[in-house]
Amino acid sequence: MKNKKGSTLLIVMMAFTLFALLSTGISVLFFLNLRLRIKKIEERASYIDLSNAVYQYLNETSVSEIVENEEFSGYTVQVSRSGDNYEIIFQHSENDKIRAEILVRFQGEIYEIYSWRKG
Amino acid sequence: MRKNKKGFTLTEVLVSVAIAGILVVAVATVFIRYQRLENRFEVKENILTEIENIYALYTGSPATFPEDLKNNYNPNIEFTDGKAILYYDGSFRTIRQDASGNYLELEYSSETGEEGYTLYSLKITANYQKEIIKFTENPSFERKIIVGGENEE
Repeated sequence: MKNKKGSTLLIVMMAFTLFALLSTGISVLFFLNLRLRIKKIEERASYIDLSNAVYQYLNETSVSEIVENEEFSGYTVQVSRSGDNYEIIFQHSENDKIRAEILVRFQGEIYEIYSWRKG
Repeated sequence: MRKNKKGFTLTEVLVSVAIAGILVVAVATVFIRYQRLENRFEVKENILTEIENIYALYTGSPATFPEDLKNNYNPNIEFTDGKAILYYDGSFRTIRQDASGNYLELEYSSETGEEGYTLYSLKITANYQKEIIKFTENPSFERKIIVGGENEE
């Protein structure tokens, strides 16, 4: 005897399962996309914070006080001298991506930023 | 009476409708939640863009910042007691003339030191729907710049 009832129900259940699987897949993609955006937002905000910390560092540091390697407000600061200019690498202590390389010249207490490279 | 074997039984229809309903509600809930989060992230991205633009303006020339801000954003902006507020629409895309719950609070100050240089400070706090929106552990972004002496233009 042909089981018509059974096969119809199976098709319906398969359609539902397929729908559920597709929905789950799309939801996972949605939330992965959101996670990526959160990360990007956090990185942008952290980079603004880093920029502000760079200015704070330059405001508070005079040429005579410059140290090759130091920690400043949660950032690792590496300084190297090339002529009258100072190459300063500012990096977040916990996130390598939050990083800036700047070229600065000091004139007494005053600094002048020549170049600023992000990342 | 002949039984129609090709059709669905009432139980099958009810079970199918119930499962379909649950699936639709689940999908709709996820989608609505996603939309809300996406809108909030868009607002955050737009706020950061505005903060980056304002800081670019400020860093370029902190001494003329209030005038530059007026010229670039809104001629009506006034720093009263060192504070100015820029009101925005719900998505922080365009500036509004009238007060809204979405705004950037700018605190601006400058002090001249004995050595002849001036220390300028600009603190930006973002408010969304009248509540401070935090991006990092700090509630606001603050940048201080020294200008003066031999570098003063």
